[in-house]
Amino acid sequence: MDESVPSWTGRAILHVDMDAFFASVEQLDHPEWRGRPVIVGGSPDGRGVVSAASYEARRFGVRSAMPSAQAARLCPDAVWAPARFDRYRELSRAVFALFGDITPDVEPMSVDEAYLDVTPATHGEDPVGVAQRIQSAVDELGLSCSIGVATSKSVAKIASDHRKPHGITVVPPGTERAFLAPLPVTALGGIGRSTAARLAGVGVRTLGDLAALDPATAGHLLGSAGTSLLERARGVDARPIDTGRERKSVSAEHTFSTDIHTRDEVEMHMRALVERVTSRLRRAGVAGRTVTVKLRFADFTTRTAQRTLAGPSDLGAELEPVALELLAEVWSVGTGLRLLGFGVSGLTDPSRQLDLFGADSDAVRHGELMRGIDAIRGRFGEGSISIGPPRRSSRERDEG
Amino acid sequence: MKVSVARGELLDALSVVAKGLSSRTTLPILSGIHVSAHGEDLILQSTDLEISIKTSTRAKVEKPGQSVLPGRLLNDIVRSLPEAAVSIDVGETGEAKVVCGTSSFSMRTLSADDFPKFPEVSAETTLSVPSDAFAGIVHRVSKAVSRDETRPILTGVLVVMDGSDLRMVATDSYRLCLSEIAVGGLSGQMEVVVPGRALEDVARLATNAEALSVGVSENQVIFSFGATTFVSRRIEGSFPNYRQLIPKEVETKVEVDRGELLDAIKRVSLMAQHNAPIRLSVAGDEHTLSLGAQTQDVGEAHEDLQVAITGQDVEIAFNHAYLLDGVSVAEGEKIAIEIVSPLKPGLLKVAGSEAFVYLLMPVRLG
Repeated sequence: MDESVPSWTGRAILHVDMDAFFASVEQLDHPEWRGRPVIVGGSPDGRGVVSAASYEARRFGVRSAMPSAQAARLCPDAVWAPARFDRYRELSRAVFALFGDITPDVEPMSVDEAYLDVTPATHGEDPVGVAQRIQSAVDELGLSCSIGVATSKSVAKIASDHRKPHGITVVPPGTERAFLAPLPVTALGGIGRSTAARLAGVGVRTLGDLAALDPATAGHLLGSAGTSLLERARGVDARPIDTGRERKSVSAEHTFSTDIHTRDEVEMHMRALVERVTSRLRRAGVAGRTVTVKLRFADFTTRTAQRTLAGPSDLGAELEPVALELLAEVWSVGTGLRLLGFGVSGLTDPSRQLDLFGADSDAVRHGELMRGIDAIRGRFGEGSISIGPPRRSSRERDEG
Repeated sequence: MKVSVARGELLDALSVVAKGLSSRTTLPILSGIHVSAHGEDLILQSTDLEISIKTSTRAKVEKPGQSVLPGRLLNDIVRSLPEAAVSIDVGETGEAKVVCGTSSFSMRTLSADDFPKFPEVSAETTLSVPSDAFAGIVHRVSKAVSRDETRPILTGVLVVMDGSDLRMVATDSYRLCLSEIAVGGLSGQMEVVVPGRALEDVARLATNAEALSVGVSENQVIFSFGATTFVSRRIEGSFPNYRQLIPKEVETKVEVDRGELLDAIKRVSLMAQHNAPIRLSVAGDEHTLSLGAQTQDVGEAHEDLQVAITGQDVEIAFNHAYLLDGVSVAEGEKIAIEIVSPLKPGLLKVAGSEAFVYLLMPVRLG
């Protein structure tokens, strides 16, 4: 790929992804570990999992989210380091401070990943030069990153993964489709193993194959996400950078093609909305105290119900029961709904005051779980893991 | 009833019973002050059914009797009067006349028969405590009293008299404060949970008396000081086992000048907005305790204090207001901060003493 682009037309988005971030921090802080396989995560003697593996460890096949015991078998000589999240957060802040020096338009995806809008028309600088500058500045911190430079978030993200570690991959305007075409469909966030298998069944293996489909076939194969996946396979993605600044609330709503009526349907959609919103809250690093539920009936009348909690939360396990209670206040089973919405406002820092008597231990544990799920989604795509509906007892099933 | 009393003394007595006036409008009689005149005494009473207060003052009783006068109004009137003799005259019609110099007021009264009888409590145990020492420990623990009525036991303070120690413990489930003093001449033992608000009132009212006595009966606790008797209901239920919560072994101990720490917390807290915590980092090599706070989209603050450290380096985050409360009520030049681990409660003590313990649960960073 030609990296000396004389003039860049249109938007320029960088996706900066730190290389083996946690493991690199450990190697930075422990010089004697540099060049050696380092695994951050739970002890291989217990039931822990790998949080991160250095590139040296990855050569042995060690991957994130792998059971520690398995990783220990693959790489018996690895250095095992317990996770020090406060330290990672500290270095993450240093990295994000670098981004902040470049542009205010930064969308953090997690501690080690962000999108930056460096559109030359407003930024006045060659995007490739900016990427090189960021990479050297990260080098100076003793860390390493890979960067994708493209015209959209979707392509930039795929590009940053193209040459890792310490790569800069530029996809100049107009070359998106050619860049994507040879890549396997799984390169696109949102296409997991089972979807890929379904696509392979009809001969669609690369993003080029996918891009060549007509919208109707894509919809048939991929469901409601078909249109957007098809567009992204063609290199089209107009989503703006979401900086989360001055945000007063986070909300999501869903309009149904046919009205929904049953408790199961309505509650299922409400759960999905709560999960979407809470996941976005966590990604933005905020929590909220005020919960709002919005309904639109078949006759287009709209109703909302709102409640303010004692403390802020970013957890579905805490907000979902509130959402369902509010729902019950404004909706009776059988009434048709054409729209359902859920939002959280009163946003504050998500820090949680712990309780001396452990009254919050469930929430704390749930928070750990959700952060783990967020990490998996961040790495493998939104659809890679989902939370099932609560399991019902056999008696309930009989009645239902 | 007809009685005459010096304005200053009447106002003092009214200020005492004003603490017991009820704000509940459903029972109008409770917004009144029961006034009775006998022999050479004017006796005032008030109650909100949770606490009952009785106090007396010397008076010239021309005609003995009793009545119930509107509490707030009587207070406001007497407060506004010049320093002279005040006469209160309640006639057959049930109207009260309050006269002082050239000012005169008349007001409706309520029947003394309808006023709740002052609880006759026979204390099983009684102890006497210097009132300034009592007020000191009440002040220290009262910040940690819970305001959340859903767990009534935590709205109270555990008062323990054990041998020669007077100990109070309060917790709102985020922090726990224990303060104790050695009181000479104590005999006997008692353990009672008293509503926090009542205890604060007693501490404030008793400052004029040298000592106060505390008596405990099955359902009530009685404080007597000067001419005043203050009865409060006890809070039922068992208070959390505080001994079990206080860590026996810690990993890190920091000794720091209290004034410096207090000022640093106040400064750094300015950047702990919107629920953001204050972070404490202990670095043994550099002998520093660093305080930091950061509010998204606003900014951050940082301050290093030179301190004496034993044990491991650690980082822990606290709610800044709770931390400030603990440091501000600790009495001593040096404070010891003791930490087990970032998600276990931290301890604030007065260095070299076990008489004050402020246990504070950390904040888990989001």
